[in-house]
Amino acid sequence: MFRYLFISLFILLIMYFLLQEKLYRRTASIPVFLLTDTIANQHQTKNTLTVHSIFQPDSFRQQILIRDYSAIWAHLNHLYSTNDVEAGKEYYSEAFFKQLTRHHTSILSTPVSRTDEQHNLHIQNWASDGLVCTAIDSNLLLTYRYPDHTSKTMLTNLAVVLVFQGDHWRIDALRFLNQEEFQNLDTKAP
Amino acid sequence: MKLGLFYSLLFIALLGCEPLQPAKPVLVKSEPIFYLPADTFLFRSSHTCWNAYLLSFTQPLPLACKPVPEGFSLSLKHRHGVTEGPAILVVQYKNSSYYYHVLIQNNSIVHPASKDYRSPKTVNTDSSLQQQQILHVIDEWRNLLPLGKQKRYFEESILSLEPKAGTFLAQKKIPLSAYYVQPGSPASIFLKGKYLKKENVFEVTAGPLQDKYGNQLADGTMIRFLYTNNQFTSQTEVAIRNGMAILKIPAIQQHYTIQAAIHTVNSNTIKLYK
Repeated sequence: MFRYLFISLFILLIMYFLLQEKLYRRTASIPVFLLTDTIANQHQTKNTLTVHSIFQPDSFRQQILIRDYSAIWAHLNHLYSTNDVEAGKEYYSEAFFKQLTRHHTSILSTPVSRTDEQHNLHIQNWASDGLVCTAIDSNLLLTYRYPDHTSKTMLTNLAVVLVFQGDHWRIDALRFLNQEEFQNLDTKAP
Repeated sequence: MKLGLFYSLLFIALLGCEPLQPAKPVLVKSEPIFYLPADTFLFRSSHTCWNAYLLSFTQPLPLACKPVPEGFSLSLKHRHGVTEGPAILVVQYKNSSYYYHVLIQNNSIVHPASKDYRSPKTVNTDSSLQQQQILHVIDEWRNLLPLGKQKRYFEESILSLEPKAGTFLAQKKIPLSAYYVQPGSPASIFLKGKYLKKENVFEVTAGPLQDKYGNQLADGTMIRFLYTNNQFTSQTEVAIRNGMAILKIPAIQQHYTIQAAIHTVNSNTIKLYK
């Protein structure tokens, strides 16, 4: 009798460990530094940088900012089309991410897509320790594409606060300043 | 026979019929700005069940559709603030989508947080006491707000800090805004000593150790004691505590000549005899 009890307990124990291992495998995610950010890698935009701040970042840091700002916009555009808050979480500050999740229910597929054609980033303030940067993104060209293959390009001005956390810049806050339609394109909006 | 053919054709025709697409709903509001989440988007339409969401500047916001007399109304599913700016209201029915360009703002500013970023976070009275300050205000929904009555969103200044060592808060009750003023190098080191017969040791005391502004040197700062008799020279490092450093040297020899130093600041030299 005891023999059967021990055998059944032993089987139960083995099953428990096997299931635990399977569960662990399912939830384990790859560390950030091993992930390939395809959204950011495939993204292309023109970006010019002008420094107006008291403390001036060196060329190396400027290049890092340009690279990360481009990645931020790759994810902002992806977010705009899908409401996929997870994909770009590495490029949002904690507070910014928290705000995005407040309006998140599921991933969507919106009919309108947005691309950023050009940025003119004017650095207003640069922290001497290189951890905070405030900037005006002037004459930012945003193209909105509709499902009937029409598009509309807007000339937009934005104020942004970026913070350097982890090993790259993240967006912490923004303020839409103004926008007008960019007239040089011959496509029409619906 | 003819009647049968007629009914068959009628049946096929009925199968091929599709329900009529409702006409484009009319947005009933003259002002272009909508204050969310309080405002609702009121539409005049023959059809009352629409799939809709609001494409804000950052993300699509799900909307709840509610039938009203003469049409329907849309409101935010999640009653939270939004990223202010232009937005596209997308209203869909089957394959038809209609777009309405609107401006959205929050109807109230909730918990605006002033950010006072200081750099560097730690200053030392030996070096510069100047600190950079970057100011901006952000609401709970991560929109930048203008500073005071000005239309500027950022402000920067260089502050001169008091030469008083301690931990200070740039913003009251926000520990993350803390910055630190460290005491600098000692202005001088005063050394005194005596022979303790009971313990048979020489006790050497350095201190009180203060920087040129009168700040007590930080606990754990290492002070180097160099003591020599006619044969050997020995060196011992002692950590400062409460601005004092005490060293006990076993009285193996009859006398010692002792000096203490912190970096390049040297003390007076004393001679101790049994």
